[in-house]
Amino acid sequence: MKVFAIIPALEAVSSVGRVVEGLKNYVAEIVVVDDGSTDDTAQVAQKTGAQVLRHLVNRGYGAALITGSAYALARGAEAIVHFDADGQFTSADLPKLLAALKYGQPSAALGSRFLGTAVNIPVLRKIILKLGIIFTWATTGLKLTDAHNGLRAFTREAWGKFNLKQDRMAISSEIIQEIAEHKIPYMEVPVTVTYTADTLRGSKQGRMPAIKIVRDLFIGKFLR
Amino acid sequence: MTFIQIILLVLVLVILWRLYQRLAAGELTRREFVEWFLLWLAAGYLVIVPETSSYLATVVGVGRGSDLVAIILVFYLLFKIFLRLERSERALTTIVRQLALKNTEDKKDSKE
Repeated sequence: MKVFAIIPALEAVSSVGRVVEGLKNYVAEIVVVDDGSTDDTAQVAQKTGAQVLRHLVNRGYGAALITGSAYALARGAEAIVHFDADGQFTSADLPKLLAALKYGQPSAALGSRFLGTAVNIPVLRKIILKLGIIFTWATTGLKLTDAHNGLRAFTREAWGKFNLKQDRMAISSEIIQEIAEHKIPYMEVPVTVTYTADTLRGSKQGRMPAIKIVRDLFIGKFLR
Repeated sequence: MTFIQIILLVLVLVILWRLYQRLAAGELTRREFVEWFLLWLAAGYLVIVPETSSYLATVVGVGRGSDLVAIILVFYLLFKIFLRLERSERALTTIVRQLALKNTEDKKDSKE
């Protein structure tokens, strides 16, 4: 099965090498989308064996995901899996995720840290994520246990149906909306997310990611 | 009716007529037309019956009618600017994405 991993990366020089190395045994090709980093993220990723795509200027997490996924589909990927560059995910979770997909038809597998394990999760983060779950349930009708998890897999047929436009973190909500809209069969899969100083840096998202997500979703409603 | 009211009313009527022309010429979508048309219709109504704005202002707890009109106008324009900004952000993303995909293809070609 030809599976591509997509890793959006921004200033991730300290972790991206380790992440790419860890994924090698599980996927056919690893695509790192360097979202305008000023450090050596791209060089390190390339040296470790990833195919690197470069955004000339920073466009955000969502934009990078879409770029990487478009590349994978153009190269004949049968399934794609989204992964983070900061090392918060566990590559050993991939087989479970990929096994949950129904190949050759629209299908999605969504990682859930609340079905699985969230190591060292800060209390505030947990509360915000739980509120996000309620928000997602209210706006899409899907009752998930973890609505904003960046570890997810799709078959080519599922991703091809999506019409995604959000450049930033709101893409995670938009993906769930599209799953609901196109009635894509999905399964939640327990995964382990580990919080460390690296993954909690947070500077990338600013102070209020949740508020920005709601704002972006609202503005998006008025754009075609 | 005061002189200034007549001037403003003529202005509003001209704008409404221009909106219709732009709809007919296909420069505005039907939805945009309806939005703008209702907005200027409300403006025209306020010109004819300015007391309405004072009444609405007291209802929502703002001091003066003209203040309320100004606040709503500023918020509305701010919102429009947000939309325009997001539109150009997305256009920029499209360009950056095409460049990223194209540059990768070129590199692959030169290697093979």
